[in-house]
Formats: sequence, C-alpha cells, structure tokens
Amino acid sequence: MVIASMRWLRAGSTWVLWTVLAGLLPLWIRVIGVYLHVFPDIGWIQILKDGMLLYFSIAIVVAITTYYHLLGEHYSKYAHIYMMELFPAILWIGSVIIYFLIWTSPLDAVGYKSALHIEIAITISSCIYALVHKAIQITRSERP
Amino acid sequence: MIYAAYAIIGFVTLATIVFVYFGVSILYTDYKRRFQHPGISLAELQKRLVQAKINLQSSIAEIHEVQQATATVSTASMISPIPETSQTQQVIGSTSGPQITSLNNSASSGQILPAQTGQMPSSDHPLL
Repeated sequence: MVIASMRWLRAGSTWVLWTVLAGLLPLWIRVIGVYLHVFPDIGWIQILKDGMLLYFSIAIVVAITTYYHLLGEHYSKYAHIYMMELFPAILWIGSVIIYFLIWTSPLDAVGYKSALHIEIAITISSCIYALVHKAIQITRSERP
Repeated sequence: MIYAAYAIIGFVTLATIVFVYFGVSILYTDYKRRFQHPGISLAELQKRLVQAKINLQSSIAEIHEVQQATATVSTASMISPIPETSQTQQVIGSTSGPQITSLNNSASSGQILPAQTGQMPSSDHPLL
C-alpha cells in the first residue's frame, strides 16, 4: 500500500525530469560541449542574458496553471488562492523583473553571479511547483 | 546587489516551502481518503453489518406476511362473491333490456324460475 501510494512521487518526478531534460536541451548540449572540449566556455553570462532558465520556468508554470484551470477540479479555497494564484504570480513577476534587470542593467561579475543564483532558485521553484501539481493530479486521477 | 539577491532567493525559498506545505497537505488528505477507512473501526463495521442483516431479515418477513395476507384475501373473494342486493337489482333492471324486464315479470307473476328450484323448465316456459 505504501509503495502504491508513492506512485505519485515517481510519476511527478518522471514528468519533471523529462521536462527539464527536453526543455533545457541547449543548456545540456553546452555543458557536454565544454566537458568534451568542443566549446571553450559554457557562457553563463550569455545564458543569463538569453533568459533560457527564465523562459523555461515561465513555460512550466503557465502550462501547469492553465491545465489546472481547464481541468476544473479545484483545490480548497486557501490552497487555491495560494497555490494557483499567489505562488505562480510570484514566479512570473520574479522572472520578468530579473530578466529585465539583467537585460538593462550593467552588472559586474558579482551581480551576474547573484542573478544566476536567483534564476536557479526560480527554476527549482518552478520544478517543485510542477512536481507537486503533477503528483496531486495523478493521485486524483487514480481515485476510486 | 548581493544582499538584494539573497533577499529575493530567501523570499522565493520561503514561498516554495509554503507551497510545498499546501501541496503535501492536499496529497495527505487524498491519501487518507483513498487508503484509510474514514474513522470507523472494524468492530463498529461488523456491528453495523449485523444490524443491517437483522433489519433485512425483518423486512423480508414483513414482505412474506403481506404476500400471504394478499393471497388469502384474493382466494376468499373468489369463493364468496358479493351478494346482489335489491338495490343493485333495481339498478340492473332499470339499465338492462327487455329480457330482464320479462324475468322480473315472470317472478312477480308467481312462476318459479329454474335457477331457484333446480328443476329444468318446461318447453312452454315464456323465456324458452
């Protein structure tokens, strides 16, 4: 029973893993290229300015939120307000602000490093957002 | 810049922790609803099952009683039909045709009807 109940975790993790693998494929190619000495540098600054991680995060959050609203099976009141309105808004607004901050402001090395950390934090939060929602959806779809 | 970045990262982390709390509570509620019994012990379930069985048996017994009573009533009504009263005869006489009228006339004229005596009527009977 416990193993069966952990199926949601496996399914949610699989969904997020394949999404990260496929969605950030250009980044993985760059990383592999640097390790294989095909590319001289991974180019974190360029990746930051491109906004690859931010686009990926926004795409995941929008996909999950839209699917939730289309599904029509809503959570309870406070969970709905926080999980489906407040938290996605934090991720969207944070992504947009960071993107324009990096794009418009002349940042030094420390600034770029800080911005990179923020982008990684937002990306991890987006992945957790997707994992939890997929787990809940899978659990509810298997409800007898 | 570093402090601002750390503040943003801390805020996003805190928001994610609250989100995970909500998500895990929903998952736990769903898990309880699916895999655990909703607050009734096995002994209570057995007790309810026995009570339901007793109720079912008494209902079946009542149905049998009603069926038997219905069968008795229908048999009794077939054996002894409701006797005609003079009032119903009058009603029948008023609404029926000339044959009934002649029957009444023959009864009133003193002739004995075959059904009342059990004798076969003679060939010169007015009804034959």
